[in-house]
Amino acid sequence: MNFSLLKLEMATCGLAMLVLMLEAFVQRRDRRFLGYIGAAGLVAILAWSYHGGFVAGSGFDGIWVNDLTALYFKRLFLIGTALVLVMSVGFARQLEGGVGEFFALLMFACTGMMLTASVNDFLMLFVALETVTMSFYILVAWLRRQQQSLEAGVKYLILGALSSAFLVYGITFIYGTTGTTGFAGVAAFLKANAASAPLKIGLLLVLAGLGFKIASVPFHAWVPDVYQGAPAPVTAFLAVGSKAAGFVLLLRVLFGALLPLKPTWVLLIGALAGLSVLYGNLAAMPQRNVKRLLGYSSISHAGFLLLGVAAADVFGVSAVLFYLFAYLFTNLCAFTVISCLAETLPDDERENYAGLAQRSPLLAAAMTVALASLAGVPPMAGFFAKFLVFTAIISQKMWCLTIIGAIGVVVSLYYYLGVVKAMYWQEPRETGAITVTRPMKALLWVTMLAVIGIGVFQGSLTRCALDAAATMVK
Amino acid sequence: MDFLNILNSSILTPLVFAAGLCFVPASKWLAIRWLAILGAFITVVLSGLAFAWFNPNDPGFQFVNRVMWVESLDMSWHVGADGITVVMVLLTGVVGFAATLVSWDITSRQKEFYVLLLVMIAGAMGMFASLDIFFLYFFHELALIPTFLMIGIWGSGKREYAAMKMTLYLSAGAFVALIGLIALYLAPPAAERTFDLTRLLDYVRSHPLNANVQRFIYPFLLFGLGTLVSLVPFHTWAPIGYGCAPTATAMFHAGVLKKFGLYALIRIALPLLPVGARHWNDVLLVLLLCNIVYAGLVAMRQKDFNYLLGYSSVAHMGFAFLGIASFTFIGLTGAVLVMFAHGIMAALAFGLSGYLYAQTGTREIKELGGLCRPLPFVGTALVMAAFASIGLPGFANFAGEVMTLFGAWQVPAWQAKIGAATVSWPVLLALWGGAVIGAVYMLRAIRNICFGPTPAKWQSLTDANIFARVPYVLLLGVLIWVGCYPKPFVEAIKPATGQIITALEKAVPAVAPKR
Repeated sequence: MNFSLLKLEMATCGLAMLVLMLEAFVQRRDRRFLGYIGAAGLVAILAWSYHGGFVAGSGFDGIWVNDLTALYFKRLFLIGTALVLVMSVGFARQLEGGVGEFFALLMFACTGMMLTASVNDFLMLFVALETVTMSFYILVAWLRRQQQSLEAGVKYLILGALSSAFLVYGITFIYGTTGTTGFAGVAAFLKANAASAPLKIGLLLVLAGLGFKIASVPFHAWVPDVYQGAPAPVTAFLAVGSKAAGFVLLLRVLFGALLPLKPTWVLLIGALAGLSVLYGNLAAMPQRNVKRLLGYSSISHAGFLLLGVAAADVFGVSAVLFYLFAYLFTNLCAFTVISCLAETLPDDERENYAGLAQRSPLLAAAMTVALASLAGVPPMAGFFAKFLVFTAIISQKMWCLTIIGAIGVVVSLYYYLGVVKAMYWQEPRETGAITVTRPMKALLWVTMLAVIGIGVFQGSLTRCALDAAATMVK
Repeated sequence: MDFLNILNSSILTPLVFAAGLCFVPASKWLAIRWLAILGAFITVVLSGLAFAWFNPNDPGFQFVNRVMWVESLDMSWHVGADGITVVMVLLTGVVGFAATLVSWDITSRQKEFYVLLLVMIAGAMGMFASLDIFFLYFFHELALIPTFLMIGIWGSGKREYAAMKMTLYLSAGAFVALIGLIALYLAPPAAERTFDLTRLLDYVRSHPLNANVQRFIYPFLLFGLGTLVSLVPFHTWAPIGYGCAPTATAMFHAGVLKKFGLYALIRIALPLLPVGARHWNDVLLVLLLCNIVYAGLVAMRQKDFNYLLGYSSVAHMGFAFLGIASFTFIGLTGAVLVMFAHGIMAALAFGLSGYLYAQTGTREIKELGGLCRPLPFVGTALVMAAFASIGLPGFANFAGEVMTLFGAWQVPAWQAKIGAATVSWPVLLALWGGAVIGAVYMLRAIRNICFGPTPAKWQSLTDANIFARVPYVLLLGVLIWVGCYPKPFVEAIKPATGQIITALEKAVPAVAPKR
């Protein structure tokens, strides 16, 4: 029992509890500043991960593995959560009830996500994933006086529970046929024996459960409503954190337990990828609500990410890892804008964004940067991410997927530019400048510069992603 | 990175000015305008210096600077210039400066406008100066997105539709080309893969790519890049895009950005995929003749002057394609000269049309008339631009187009015997399309706009003042200078095109014309 492998997770969990406790001693109006304590603590943990906080190795009878991939994802989750915490402080006036609990839940979810990064066993997978999902059940329905938020909460709860049920059911099949829940054991079993029908059912059920988390077609039904109804920082966290957690689990399962079945799952993942890209992009075209539009776009991005998984080599996985980081900053930038507008605008309809460039040039510019990055336009990070994914699938000669991806990219440009169009050259319904608070301004600048910075200086992140991918894909 | 490198500084100067402008308060628009002009002026001086310092006797790339960017993909910031590059860099500088100068008519949100314009100039500089396939593409896209915003915000007419259509067309084309470029990057074995163009050229020289691979990749580049150059049938974005764009955007896009497709074909597709180019050449020949003849015929029916200029620029691109398709030394050299000449001419024509629009508020050819009387300077300049467009000797366009025709004439496969004489049928068609159809629509438009009785409402128009004349005089000066004395340009271009053609003839001997 080498608990030093869990240092980062324990620190994050401890930090969450600390914030929860501090809330009792802080005056109501100052409670939102607890978010800064949380963010600062997470940044400290991030710094610690560079200097001794992270111990490489595996332990706990092989259910836990700390490799470069795990480290890459843990850092991603820490950065993402810290930024979401700052965003929530800016959003705090709209959060009813205890904001301290809100912050703590974000950090508990973060702990769960960091657990997913090191998963090497199906049971551990379930535990880690449930830690994330449980926190999100509460977070999504946080605005308890708003019908939309409640509706989103119920939908997420029911569909989330359903997917968890799939997952557990699948795991029982796997354990029943192979006699083990460890990824290595299942892989060894699959290498020695042909996969029987119950085992195949079990694996499919597990993949379906993960499909819910990454929001790929055909497990996407919850996405638009939940994205639209949840508070903006929670939607952002769902988009960047929950999706990345789903992807690291998917990669671990595919390249850990299911490696012997690679020729089969490449077809399956490829099909899901193509469907997600087509469905997500085509369904996003008629959307008029910006949050809902980002929900559909999130489905399409799950598709683009799956394209990289379908390439199924080191380069493809590294493209996925790069993509997730680019996607993190891009989405946080977009949702920071939405959070800033949540107080002023009646809702997130595109018409309300009309003339935003005149009301607040900074918000309009940040949204444009984010949307351009989502659309894959240089010099944004999203472009290089898509570039890597396409290089990966073209190197595998997957021409059919390449064409589908290309169609998706062009279609996506249409609806992202539609929002830009509204912001820049439609006349505003109301004039009046929109003020942005200082922390939100800082957040906008940080995410914007990160999106452009990663897009222009791609070298170091590409190398990290490649190193991480190389440890997972052998 | 070497910031004193002339190419690096030409790319970074407009970018630095654009970033600086972001921090000037929007209310000080006059200061913003002068700063933007200063930035564009420094850029044109730098590009002029690059042209002046360029040594035509040195066959390799000059002003080279290479910084490793992404090690694992062998992607680098690599700039360098041969004759083709310097000519295009000079074009970018001149048209960029002129476009900045004519933007007096922008009266709202000047800050955003000049920031976007400077980003466009930087992107165009970068795409011509880069010797790395990735950055070539990267810079082109960087220059493309500002056009969307500029047409949408400051455009006229059906600007929303035009902005969306142009952006979707061009992005789709660019993306198809990107797929081709990635496939090209992946074509060599894993150890030899590189985005560095010079190293790819070296590699291909000793290990030509498999012929089937070449035939597969080339259409991606041809049709993808062709869309960017408005190759028929992917040209419909051009007239409406230019028709609705603000003057500076139309000038810069038609003059410079559009040439990217041709430039990348010459720079990447021809040397790396000679077999593919040969294989698809017949298709290209048919399409380019459609460009010259069909787009010319459509131009004859236009009622809006900017639409007419848009179709005319589609038609002129056919000549550049003709030079490329001829696979001859003189033809390819002519194609590069056409790119330069048309860039200047298109900028001049769109600039003057923009001046007329700012004065009269209309671009309908029928509405205008007799404008030479109230506007002697602008009218004269417009007549000269029309002469250049038709291809009258003395203007740069003539020098370029006649060379492409000479090149096409040399192609044995295109020759046919009529009686005792041997004629080249594409040349005949192109001549008919360029000289006859081109003359009909241009001269008719000029007659209607500049001559005839002046309607009473146009009597009081004011001619361009000394300041406003500068960009037009500059562009006209370059046009006439190159037209009368093209030698320094041809001398600069020749070694580069010569190398490409020599390599082509080595790779595909059957193509070589009899000398």
